[in-house]
Amino acid sequence: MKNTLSLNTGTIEGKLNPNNEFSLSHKLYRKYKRNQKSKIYHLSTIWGFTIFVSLWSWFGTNFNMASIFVSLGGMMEFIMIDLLPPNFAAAPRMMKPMLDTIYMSIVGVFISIFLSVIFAILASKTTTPNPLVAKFFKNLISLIRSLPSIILGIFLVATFGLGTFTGALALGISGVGMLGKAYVESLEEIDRGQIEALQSVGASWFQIIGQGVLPQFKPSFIAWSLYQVDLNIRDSAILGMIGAGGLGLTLMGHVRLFQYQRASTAIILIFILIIVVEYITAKIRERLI
Amino acid sequence: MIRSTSKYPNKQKNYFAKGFLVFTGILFIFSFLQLDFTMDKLINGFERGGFMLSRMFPPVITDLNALLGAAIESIQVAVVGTLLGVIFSLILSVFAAKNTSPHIILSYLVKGFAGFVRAIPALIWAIMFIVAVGLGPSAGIMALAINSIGMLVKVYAESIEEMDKGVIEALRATGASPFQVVMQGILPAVMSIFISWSVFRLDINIRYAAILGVVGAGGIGAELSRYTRASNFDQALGVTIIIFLMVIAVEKITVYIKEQLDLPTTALVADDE
Amino acid sequence: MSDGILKISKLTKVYSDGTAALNGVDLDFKKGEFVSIIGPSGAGKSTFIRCINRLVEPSGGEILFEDKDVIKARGQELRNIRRQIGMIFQGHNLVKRSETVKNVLHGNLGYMGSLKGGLGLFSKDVIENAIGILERVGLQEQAFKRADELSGGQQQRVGIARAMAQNPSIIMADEPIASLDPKSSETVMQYLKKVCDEDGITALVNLHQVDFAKAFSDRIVGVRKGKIVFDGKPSDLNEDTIHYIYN
Repeated sequence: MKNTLSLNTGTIEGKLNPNNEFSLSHKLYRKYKRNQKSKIYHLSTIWGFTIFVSLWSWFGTNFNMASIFVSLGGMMEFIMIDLLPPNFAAAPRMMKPMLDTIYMSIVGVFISIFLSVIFAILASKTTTPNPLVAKFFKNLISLIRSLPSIILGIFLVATFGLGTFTGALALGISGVGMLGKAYVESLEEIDRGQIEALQSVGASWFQIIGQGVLPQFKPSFIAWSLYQVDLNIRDSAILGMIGAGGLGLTLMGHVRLFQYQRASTAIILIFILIIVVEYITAKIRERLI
Repeated sequence: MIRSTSKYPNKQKNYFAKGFLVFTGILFIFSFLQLDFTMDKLINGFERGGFMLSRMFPPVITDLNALLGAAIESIQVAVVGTLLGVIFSLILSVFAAKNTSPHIILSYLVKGFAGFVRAIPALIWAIMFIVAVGLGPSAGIMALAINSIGMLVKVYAESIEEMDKGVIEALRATGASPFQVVMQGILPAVMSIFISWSVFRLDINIRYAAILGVVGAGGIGAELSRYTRASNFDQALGVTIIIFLMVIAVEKITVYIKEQLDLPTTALVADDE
Repeated sequence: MSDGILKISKLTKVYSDGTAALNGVDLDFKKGEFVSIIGPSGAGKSTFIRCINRLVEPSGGEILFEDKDVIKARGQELRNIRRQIGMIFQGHNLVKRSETVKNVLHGNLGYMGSLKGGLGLFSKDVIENAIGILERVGLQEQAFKRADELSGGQQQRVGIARAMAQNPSIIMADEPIASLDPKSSETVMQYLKKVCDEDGITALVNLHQVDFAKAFSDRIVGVRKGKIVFDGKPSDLNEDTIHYIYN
């Protein structure tokens, strides 16, 4: 039931009497109050929920303030006594695993790029030949995204055995989740005008993709693909821990043998690798864009 | 085919682009050859893969209670880890942001620390904490908290540094007190950025929490590891499905929360009287 | 100072890198005047009005606002002075994520306790007053929209409304229409002049568009390299003077 008040927008002279129940000021004031109440209600429920979940988790894990200090203390002790000084003599033997990690990441990125480009072109509403196909591939990309790479890695190790090839496969396939989504987002943001122009000239679907879509897509494509190299280097260290080779495997090996000083060397190498790769990819990105 | 009309400016770019493509092609082939790939592996792999797939279906969940318990533990670890990460990052970011830090060197130190803990993958932190303090959720929580600090301090500090100075000026000009300027002028913008990054981090941490078990920090990852090692692929698939559902559920909830906290005016205003 | 409201003597400002933005400015303003300040960028216009409410600290001189010493004021005293002086900015400077009404209500912060204002606990009268002001600038339909959902011209009118909410004696505007198209500029200036005339508010408006200055002001002040080089009626401002000011 609406009780509309006709607004006299032409008259700006003078002030309306705010004490009149039906004056505009009063009506809008009530609206303001309602908005405030609504906002407070919404905020309270959300924050209430968040606090509830936090408390539930806090007590559920038997975590408490003491645990923080105990953990940090234990960690400091571990670092000082067991991890340091790192056994640098073990470093030369870690060069091959380090290179393995790099190779895995590179092959993985290529696999991801290859698959992601295909999936993304089929999945974006701006480039797909068919909306049903688009929905399917979008969901497929989401599915892959929700699966952590290690889970995939575990299954792949069970299939193809331990080793760097398996690692590359795991990185390649799981990378489609991130890269696919990124590609789709940038493909959907391209200028439709250029596509329409090409369509009106009578270009085929392939030609439209090649001449209209890809040039606009290039900067995002390069940026995200390089970022994926970054991510892969990190992930490959982790995949190594489940047997896919590289520095991660080395690390796990030393940890299991309680050789912490060699383990810390491995950690340092992983760290250096990640930083260096981050730096290089940043530089390449600057040059190419 | 559509060609560019002016040849000269493009020629150099073309050479560079072509050269780069060739380079990447060689890079791929070279790296691929360094892997331990053999045709045998591939063929055996497909055989084993086929075998595995046949054994995977239908997926089976034998001990639902235990699995749910493990899933809940993973969720709780992620929540507490994120919570700790958020709280400490909020405090640290004030020191990290150049415009709020008492001294610029402190700002560099805090940012450097954040960069360092960020560069070490969460799982490695987890292993370190497990060795240092033993198995159990605490190790996972601390590992996630520290890794989160790496990311959150950086983005929180950035949003503090980018706050709208014009608004601050305008509010000061009205005669507002410093407290009022912060609460009415700075907080609305900064809060929404804080919240959306924190929620994003929770998403990430849920994924990590699920796999922490694989290296021994408890939770549902451990179950998966156990089943695959024993070649119980149908149960492994069951666990995977649960992990998958868990991640998606948390994702949906966090998206919902983000939307609720970020409401544009149109959604809030009730037009009837 | 009968109906003089602002008295400025020998105002100077030298920035820490040595640039002298203001070189001894003497100006008096009367209640209800609409004054435009013109001059090239870098002449010191922005610095000048920011010294008046001490967003910028003057290096020397004296500023008397309603017989109160602005330069010596501290803390609450300074805030009491500032709340009487409304200010409008080139970039609007609204809180983008907050609703229009909220932004207008910010004009009241200087009159409220720190805690109440910080928490946004505005009273009924204040809220209704704010809505009334929005009507006066023609924005009642946009009252509950987020500030960033409005056009540039509309946002500037919200800026005017915020300044009006302070019930000020003076409104200062730093290039209020510099980022607006001609039509919006016209609208904004009209609303500004209208509310100032209706409430007898003195206006100090920095403009680089001389035509707007001539059209709307009672008085024009020309600034060049930190010094006043013209001070008179718009009709006295001729081509030669304009040329001299802008060199």
